[in-house]
Amino acid sequence: MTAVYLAAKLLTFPGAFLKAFWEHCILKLLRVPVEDASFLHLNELFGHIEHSLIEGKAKNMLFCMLPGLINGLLSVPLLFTSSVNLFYLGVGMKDAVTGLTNIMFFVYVIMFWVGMSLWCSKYPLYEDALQLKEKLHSEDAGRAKKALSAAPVAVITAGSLLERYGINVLLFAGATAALVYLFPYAFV
Amino acid sequence: MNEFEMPVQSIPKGKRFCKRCGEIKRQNHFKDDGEYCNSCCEKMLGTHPKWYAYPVLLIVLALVAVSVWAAVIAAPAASCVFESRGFAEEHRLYDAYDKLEEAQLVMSEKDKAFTERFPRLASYNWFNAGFGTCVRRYRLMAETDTRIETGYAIKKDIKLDSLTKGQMKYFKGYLDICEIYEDTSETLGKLTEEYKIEKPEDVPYEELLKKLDEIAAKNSSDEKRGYVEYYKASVMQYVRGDFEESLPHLEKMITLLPDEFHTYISALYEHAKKTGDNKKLIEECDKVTAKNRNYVSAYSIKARAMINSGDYKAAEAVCGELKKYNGDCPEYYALMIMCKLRQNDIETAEALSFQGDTANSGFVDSVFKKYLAAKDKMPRQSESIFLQSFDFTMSQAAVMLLLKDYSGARDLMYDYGYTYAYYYSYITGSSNPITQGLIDMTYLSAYLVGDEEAIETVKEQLGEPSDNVRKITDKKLTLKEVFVEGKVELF
Repeated sequence: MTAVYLAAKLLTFPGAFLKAFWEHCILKLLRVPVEDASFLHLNELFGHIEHSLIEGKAKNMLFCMLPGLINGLLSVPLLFTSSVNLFYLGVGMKDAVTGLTNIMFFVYVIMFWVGMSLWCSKYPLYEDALQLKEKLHSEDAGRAKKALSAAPVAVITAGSLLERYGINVLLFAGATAALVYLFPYAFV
Repeated sequence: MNEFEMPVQSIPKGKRFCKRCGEIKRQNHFKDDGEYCNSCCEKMLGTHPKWYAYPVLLIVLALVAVSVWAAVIAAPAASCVFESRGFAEEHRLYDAYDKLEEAQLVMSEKDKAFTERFPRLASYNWFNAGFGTCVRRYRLMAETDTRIETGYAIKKDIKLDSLTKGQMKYFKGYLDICEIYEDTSETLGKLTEEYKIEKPEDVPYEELLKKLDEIAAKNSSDEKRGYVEYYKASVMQYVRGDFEESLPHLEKMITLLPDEFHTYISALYEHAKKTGDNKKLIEECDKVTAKNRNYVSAYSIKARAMINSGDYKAAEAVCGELKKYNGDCPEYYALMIMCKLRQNDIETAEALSFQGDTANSGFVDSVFKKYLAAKDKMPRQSESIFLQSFDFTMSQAAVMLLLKDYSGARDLMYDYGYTYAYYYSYITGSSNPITQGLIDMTYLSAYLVGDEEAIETVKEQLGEPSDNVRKITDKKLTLKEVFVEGKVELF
């Protein structure tokens, strides 16, 4: 499964790189020691920062949510603009009226790929997600906190599990195929 | 991170081993349960992200900025395409088509502005509304006009040799039908040359129809056989001078060539005028308007047929539907005025005439400037609006004549009607179908004022008035008999 994970991460390397970058920045802000600043490990740590144990529920929550949130927010304009132009309008490699090569087509394809990479790199390492779950659902945590955090924690845990096995990339590929089917003028 | 292994020898009491630096230090150099000494912790807190993350960050941020810029540029085109979809779902096909054309025009202007600003980049295309918009537009054109027109438009507008095979398949059908049409026209053209026809009497129509049947039998294509039927209808119309004997051929034609509904409906209208039988005409008009609610001519023909048969309430209901889907258009007022005149309600007709003026700007110059500006962007709409405006002007003139405002009618026909005809021929390159109606109304109003100079100008520059006008000038018919009782049709 490490091979599948690595393949998915290499395919979406801009997202993986930025995810690690944001993780490092958040760890610095939260004053959590970074054990290894490098994230180019050829194992399940690719795209993640090795760090010391994070103390406290709030810090764990911020660490697990913020990097993915930033990646997600950056991916929105990229995916929106590229999808509208490539699928909805059907912008192609050449302009049908003038016959000239359409440079923005290539820009939109790159935009779509980078947007996909950012979208597919939103969740923390599975171990970090489990750590968060343990912290928030420990005995000393209040009922209200447990109730409020249940949904986000479930999403983060499920998301990190999907990312661990590269399933999120497959899901995105499936969504792209569905778009191509719904908008038949794209990529003809 | 490289970690040191725990030393083999035991660690002295009061001291701990730091995995990061590999040193054994006193307990006070460590935090309570920390694995690393305080100085190592400080170093770990001071690490920075790896250098190779920064270029990726910069590129992604630049790409995000480009995406926002591209979204702002493409937004008007995307919203036009979205609105077009809404119109198409409401069967307002001309409105849908115009929105797609607007999307293409907007992006083309942005591309032009961009390449003018950066001339070195002019050898590439930067902004366009997309191949999808193009295909949707031509599909709508085929539904609202004919597939042949669409094929010719594609040949004119599109660089066919730059299309991929996948793209070409969307246009192939229209291009093929153009080929079929040209091939059939060539065959039929040769046939016409063979007979050297100069006047209707020269046509050996039975022999000609037999030869046309032979041509149709050789071709299995619906379109080719449809054109042969169209040609037969034209021959019969030419020979007989009316639509009655051409109608059976047009009925066969419409099953093979459903695109040619314009011709079929016009023939049904003439048939209805002659026989009073509206049923088939109304059925066909309903089919057309169900498919395209912007097809004003179908509403107009249906309403006129109902007016001719005396069913004024039904005609007004048709006008209501016309207004619902096409707004306060000139044709609505033209038809409502006709309805009211035929019910001898001249007062309401006059009020409608003023309302129509207000709704349609009422000023010749601003109206024409608006329509001429529209022509460059939306040629179909401007042609339709001109014809509608002309119909409205004729109805207004009829109201004025009935109210004995002969000089007002004369001025109206000279200022508006003549200018409409001029601009119509400027836009379309054709003087039909409004010229005879223009001649008749201008001549009639000039005659009733006693303006000899205007009468002579009309005869010299436009032509002779029709027999129906002569009946009025010879006092064989009154204005009331024409415009209220509808004994003859002037426009």
